Amino acid sequence: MFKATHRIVALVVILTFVMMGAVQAQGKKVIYSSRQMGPDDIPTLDPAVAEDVPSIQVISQIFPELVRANELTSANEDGMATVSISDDGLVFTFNITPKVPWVRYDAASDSVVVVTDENGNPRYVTAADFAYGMMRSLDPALASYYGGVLSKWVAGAKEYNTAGEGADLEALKAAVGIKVVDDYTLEVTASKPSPIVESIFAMWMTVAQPQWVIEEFGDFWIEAENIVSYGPFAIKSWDRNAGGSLVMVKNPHFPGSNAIPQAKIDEVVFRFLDVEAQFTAYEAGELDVSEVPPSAIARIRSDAELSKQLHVDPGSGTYYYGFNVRIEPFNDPRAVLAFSLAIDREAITTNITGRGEIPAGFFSSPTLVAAPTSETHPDIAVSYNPEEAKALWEAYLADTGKKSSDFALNILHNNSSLHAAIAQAIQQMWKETLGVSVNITAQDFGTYLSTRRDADIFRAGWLYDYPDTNNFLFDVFHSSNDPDTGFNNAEFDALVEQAQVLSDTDARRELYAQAEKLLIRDAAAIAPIYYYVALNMTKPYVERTYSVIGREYYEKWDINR
Amino acid sequence: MFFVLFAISVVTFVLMRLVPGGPFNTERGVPPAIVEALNKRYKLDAPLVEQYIDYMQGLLVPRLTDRTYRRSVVEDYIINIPMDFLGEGVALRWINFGPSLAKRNQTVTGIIRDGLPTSMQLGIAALLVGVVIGVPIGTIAALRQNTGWDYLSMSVAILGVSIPSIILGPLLQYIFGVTLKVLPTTGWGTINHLILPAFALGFTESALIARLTRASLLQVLREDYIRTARAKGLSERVVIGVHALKNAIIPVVTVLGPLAAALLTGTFVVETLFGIPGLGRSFVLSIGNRDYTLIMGTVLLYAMFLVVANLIVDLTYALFDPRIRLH
Repeated sequence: MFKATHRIVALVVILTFVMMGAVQAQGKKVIYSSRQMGPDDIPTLDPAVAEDVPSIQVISQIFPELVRANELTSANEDGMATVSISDDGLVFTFNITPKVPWVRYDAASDSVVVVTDENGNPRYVTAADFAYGMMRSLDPALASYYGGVLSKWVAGAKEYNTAGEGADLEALKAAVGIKVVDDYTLEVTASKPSPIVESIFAMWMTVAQPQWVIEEFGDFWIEAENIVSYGPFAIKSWDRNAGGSLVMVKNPHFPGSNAIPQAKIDEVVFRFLDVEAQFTAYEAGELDVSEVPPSAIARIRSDAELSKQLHVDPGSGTYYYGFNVRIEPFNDPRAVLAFSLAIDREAITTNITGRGEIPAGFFSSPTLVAAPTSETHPDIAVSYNPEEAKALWEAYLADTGKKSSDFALNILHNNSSLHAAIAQAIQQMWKETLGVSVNITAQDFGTYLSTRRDADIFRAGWLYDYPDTNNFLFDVFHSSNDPDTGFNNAEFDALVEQAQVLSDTDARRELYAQAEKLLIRDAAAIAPIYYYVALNMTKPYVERTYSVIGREYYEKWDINR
Repeated sequence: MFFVLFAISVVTFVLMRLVPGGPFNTERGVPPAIVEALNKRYKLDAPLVEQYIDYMQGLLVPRLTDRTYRRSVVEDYIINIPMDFLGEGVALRWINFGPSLAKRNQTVTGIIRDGLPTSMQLGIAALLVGVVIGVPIGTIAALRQNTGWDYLSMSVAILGVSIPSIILGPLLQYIFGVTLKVLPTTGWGTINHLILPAFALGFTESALIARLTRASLLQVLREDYIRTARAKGLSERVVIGVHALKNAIIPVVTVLGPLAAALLTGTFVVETLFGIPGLGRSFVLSIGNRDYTLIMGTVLLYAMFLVVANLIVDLTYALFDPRIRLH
């Protein structure tokens, strides 16, 4: 009886596997990548609601933007359109590349086919598709985070995007400054002239969206069997689970342009793997591109072959500590600055993180457009300076008549061994330099997010959405964004508002440097710790570019083996 | 049994809502207007009791739908039976786990539908590994008590218990995947992909099963009826196989119930290590993400497996020991 059941179970297991079948690609250029993906499913492929790196990575390959951010320089290039801007800087006219067809993957013929309309004619990407896409992202019922970002920059969009109950939606919709002139001409009126507006059209929530598919399939329009797209790649399959994968195939119907060439590789297989599993699979030859687990860095660096395959890219953000400036002692900027200068950032990046992170002198990441750096503004940048830290802290204590032991301060971080190690190191540095004892609390991410506003000191990170300093200084610390630290400074607000509308990059950099000076020194609310880096392993037969904008352009890659 | 499931559903529902934070919090800080709109979209602004009743209704009450039914993130049923004889497009639909709150275009039903079969395949394989290695090792150890065989078997068992799959997994990957290149280290879809994770998962269980088998068998071997069986002149094979092992297996089967439930619903560590598209990861991460509907769905699923597995265990007692009968 035992044996019989075992046999049945074994048979069931084997049969299921036979039915699942293994798909092997032969004679094709296929690249297996896990870069940017992480171990979990890609949250969405819907450009209107995407807000995470994996989703945006894939969306940029299947729905290219009107303006394409160059992945090496962050500069804006012509994407799906050429753009002309009116003299007052308000009206953006996009001349869209004509006759780029909507396509989908056809499993029966294993090829990418052009989508046709009711009359059998190819459907081309038109100005109306882009207008529909932007309006859908702005739809208040969709509650899209990046719809909110877009709404700040398009005339009339804010009113529509934030319309409350009972508002006349049709009237508000009609008032949004997005106008279809003809099939291939789109006119967008900005809410104010600014060098940043163009960058907004290099973001995913402004791409063309297929109205007829969205209306037919509703929430499930993005699934592999329903989705249509128009970029250099199309979606072939999508196994939506942790450990699953997404396969993109080359779209031969995409005409290609300077900024967005036709793909050279036939297939990109994104596998959702934890970083440790990625690197194991990479070493076993199952992945062509992988990220690097901290535990393997020393071995890679000392290995002649592996070290050649390693590449350290500037990351897209900053690791920092926020101080609650509503409470003592941090309501006095001298105290915050003293705590900031007492942090030995070099020691943290060398001894703890160890991946090649760069000690941060500013909140703004140095690769951003118009960002001040330690080279351009060495006087403003913060760095380890125990003497000055001690002097500032003693001056603060003398003025207020308090002692270091009067304060029971607490560092809050979200659970992670890395955050814990950094917090312990900083705890030690403050103890040694300032004589202040602080406690450390770790919470799970969800709890941390909802409690950090009330924490004394909290660990935080910020990654950019678009590579402009505005996305760091305005979008995080302008008082309208109600930062968790409680930072609220009218002078700072004025500086970043002014920098938003200037077109001269050097002049903007000067303004941002002054704003940083307030944020990290004169009215200090944060201590920047380090700039993130991205570590990549790539097999030698992969020809590739190393993107600095947070997503790779696989259409520029090739394989030679 | 139904009371247990009901109690679990209530306790989980209340507990998860007491934890601070919510599904729409991000480090970026979502504007309150958007959070409000999302709460409204997923009906999280209704009173808790109403939300609970709503949820359980979707889960438990089957409904007939006509042609106007369209699968959406709020309505996605596991069981869909076409009932065309009642009218065109009519279908009976049952068990809707609701939308995932953390993944905007996915339903909990979809996550379970995709992940559960994978987790179950891995679970069954691991359970087989556990039993196939564990029972014979335990038997050998008991029969050759205090000999080299016993010590060797128990050393293996101790090793199994002390090396968790988080260590064993990478070790196996390194040996068979990176160095020997005979088996794939990550992924899913062929029988080759199953071997390493099933072993990593099953080996620890086999150690547990071996120790239990040994202890239980040693006790049984000292029973009077074994002496009787031997006195009757039965062959050693029959004595051990029919009389001793059958009685000794009861404690092992008792453990197998909850073990099976745990293995079948997915395992976080092994799935993450080997990149297996199962349910285990969703289960664990749903809590960190405050994905309320996914927490409810996976907890209830696990609870159901546990209850059913224990029921099966109770029923099999009767097979092994005729004295135990259902009353």
